[in-house]
Amino acid sequence: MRDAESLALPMARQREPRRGADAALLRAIDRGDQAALAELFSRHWPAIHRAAWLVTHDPQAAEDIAQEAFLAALQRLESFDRRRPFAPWLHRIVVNRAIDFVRARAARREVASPMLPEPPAEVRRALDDDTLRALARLGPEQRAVVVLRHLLGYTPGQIATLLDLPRGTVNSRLRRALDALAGELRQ
Amino acid sequence: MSDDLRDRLAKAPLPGAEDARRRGWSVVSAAAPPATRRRRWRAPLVALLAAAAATIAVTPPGAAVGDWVRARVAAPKEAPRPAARPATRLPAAGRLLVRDQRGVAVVAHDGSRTGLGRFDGATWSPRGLYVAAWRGTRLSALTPGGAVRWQITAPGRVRAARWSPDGFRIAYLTAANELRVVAGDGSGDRAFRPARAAIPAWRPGSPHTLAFVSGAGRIELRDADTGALIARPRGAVPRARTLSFAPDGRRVAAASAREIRIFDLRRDRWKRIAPDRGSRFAAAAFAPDRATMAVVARSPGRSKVRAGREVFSTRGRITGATWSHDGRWLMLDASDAGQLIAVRVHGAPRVLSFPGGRMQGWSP
Repeated sequence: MRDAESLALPMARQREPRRGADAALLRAIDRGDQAALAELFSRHWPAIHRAAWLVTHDPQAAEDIAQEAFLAALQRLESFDRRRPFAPWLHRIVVNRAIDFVRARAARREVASPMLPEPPAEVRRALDDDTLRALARLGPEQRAVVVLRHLLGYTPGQIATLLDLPRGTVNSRLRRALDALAGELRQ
Repeated sequence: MSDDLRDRLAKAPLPGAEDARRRGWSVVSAAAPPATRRRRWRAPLVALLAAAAATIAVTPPGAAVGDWVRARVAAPKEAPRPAARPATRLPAAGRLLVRDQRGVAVVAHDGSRTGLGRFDGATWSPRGLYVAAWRGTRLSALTPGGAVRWQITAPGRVRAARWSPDGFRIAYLTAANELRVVAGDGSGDRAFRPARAAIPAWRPGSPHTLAFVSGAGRIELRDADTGALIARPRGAVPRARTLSFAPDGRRVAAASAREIRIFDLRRDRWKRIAPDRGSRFAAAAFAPDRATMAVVARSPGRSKVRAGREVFSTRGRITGATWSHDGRWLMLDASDAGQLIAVRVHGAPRVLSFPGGRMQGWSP
């Protein structure tokens, strides 16, 4: 696994204009500027919260993961290379934590499933959404590449760098995931 | 498919998104690291001033200027290493006592920390004017600034201590399960009763009435000065780990991993609270101002905190809960995350996090 600061990802095209702005916010946060922190949070929270939710399908876990990832990124700012964009660094933390959570939950479920409480009605309704039901058919690694590619806009090459995977693996996961999703969403 | 999928992912329902965003900001803004000053200007400036010093030091007036330059270029004297700074001010009045790998520290309302030394545990005096702290067989009384007022050596390793409501007695429990009492000035240390491992509690409103779990596994309330038995409610609680009184002193709760028993001392009745299937209780404590009990229950992969209703839930391990003296906040030990988490129990939901440590107490 590479160090986060060694990531040399160019930003996905649609977020390119934000790169400089994020850097300015990080400098302001260094000076203790709370408004800059609020701005950085507003920019990135919706995407990381949604990404965590789409991978985990657990609202509490998604919230925890997004919170912890944002804090982890902030707490490691001293070691973060400011010439790099902030978003891929943050997204990498979120997606990896989300994958880890789903794997751990799957391992626990063998013993814990009869004791798990029924999720609240709002969550049950959300999970009944076509897209979420289709995503639920995929493994966490496949969900992660779909989210990185189609929600966050990274190229397969960038995803390979983010997840420390061979590019061919990313391409095959994407292909299989999209085939499965197309089949599910067509029905 | 691509555009359609992007649209679907962006619009898929996300339950409680706005509440989660609000809580997220609350935690992030509270726990963000303190401001740092990057001194990128320092190296070029040092080189420039050093070159200037070398140039001008060849004449006597130049030497004087050179001294001035050297004084400013020289490495600064090493400042005392600051203790870890919490991200923000405490949400309620009073000071915290926390323990981490460096020992016990007092956290002031502005978040500054004062280390008291390497102790295994500590407890506040009733008005927060002193701290009783223990390590091995040593029991010490200190000021919150760290000045030691007195020390005694106990006949066994000290496991826990509690200060009486009037400040004139301290009860402490040794590893050999002997309950002892010492005066608030450190005098008169003496064995009181054999006891189980549950941490004892002083009864509110009757300054020298001590509740503990006797060697027989039953709760006893005794006068700490005379030893006279005041109450011995029915029912054994041999596995209780903590005792906690309701603020009116009428009820006392004995908490173990498998159950919480709440004894009504006037009616000599008790009721039992069992954890949900697959859960265990990690902590239980009555609020200081009302008969609300905070209960921490852990199941595989989740900790839940209830105080009349569920006030907090997390995948991490919560190992303790301490009330603020106004009864509005709970400080939770999130030992896995190395954090303390403050949860507002009354009023709008609010969650704050602070740098780690295990809570020992929250002073008035």
